Amino acid sequence: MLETLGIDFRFILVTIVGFLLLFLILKKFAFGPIFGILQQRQDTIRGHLDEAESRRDEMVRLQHEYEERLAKIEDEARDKIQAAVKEAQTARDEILSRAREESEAIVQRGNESMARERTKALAEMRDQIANLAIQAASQVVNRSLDGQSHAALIDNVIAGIGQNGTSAAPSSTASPGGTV
Amino acid sequence: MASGDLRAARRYSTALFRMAVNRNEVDEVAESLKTVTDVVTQSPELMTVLHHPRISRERKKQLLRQVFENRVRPDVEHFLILLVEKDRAEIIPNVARQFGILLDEHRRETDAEAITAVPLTDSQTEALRQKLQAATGYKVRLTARVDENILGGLIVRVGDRLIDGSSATQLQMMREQLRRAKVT
Repeated sequence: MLETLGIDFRFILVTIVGFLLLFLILKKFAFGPIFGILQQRQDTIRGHLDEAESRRDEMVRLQHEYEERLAKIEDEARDKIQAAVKEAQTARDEILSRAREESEAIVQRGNESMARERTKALAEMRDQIANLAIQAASQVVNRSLDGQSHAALIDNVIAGIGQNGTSAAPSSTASPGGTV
Repeated sequence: MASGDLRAARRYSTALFRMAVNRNEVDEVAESLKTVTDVVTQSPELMTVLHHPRISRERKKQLLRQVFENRVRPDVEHFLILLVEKDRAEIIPNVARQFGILLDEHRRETDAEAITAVPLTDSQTEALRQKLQAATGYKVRLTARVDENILGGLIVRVGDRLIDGSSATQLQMMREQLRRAKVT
């Protein structure tokens, strides 16, 4: 039956034996290195995968770190801004109060200097009035004194010398003003 | 002149004056000192020489003898030489001045000056002299001066005392009163 189908039992046997021989030869010389290469390749790939995994982990860790750091920086920046704002407010308050004090001092000084000027002006005016009055009086005295009046004034002073127990009391010994 | 020099002048003149009083020769010594004052006033270079630190005492004494010998009494000349020996020649004018003060005190005399706006009459001058002599107890050598600036009245200066009865001063006092008047 087999022969009708064209199958020769020997041929099959030879094929099997050949195959077995081939298999043994291949096993002896080729399979080892091939599997070795495959294994090596597999190891390499797994190594790469592991490395990739660890890099990913590292990246994630770094990302966390960066995020933390960013958050920290933001916090610090906020603190700094708040501190700066507070400082600015303090400075503003100080400047305002100083300006107020200075303006008050200026007003005070102005008032004082005005009062001084007023006193000075009054004193000057009084001096000028006194000077003018006496100048006028001097001219009147000068013009109105004739020889007789001069003599009377001088006699008056001479008469006053030695009175009041002293000769050295200026003016009190004589009062020529009465005859002016 | 330093006050120390003035004190020294007083000391020396007092010593000289006491000597004169003791010898009863005040007038004569005064006369000699007046000669010294006249010479020093007329030739100031004499004082410059007596001042000079580079000129020896011997030379200065010689000079003094040349100038004053037979012109002043020997005791006054010796007195001047003594001053040179003590390196005190520069106080000679002051010594003479101080001697004059002591002399006036001794004779009970004093200078007085009267200042008026118009000349004093003779009777006024005499009345003033009498009054001053009565008041001070000193014989008064009165000099009169006219100064129209005092306007009227009389100012008398006796020694270091002053009697101011001038109209100008009266007016000044009135002015001061006006200036002191309170203004509001």
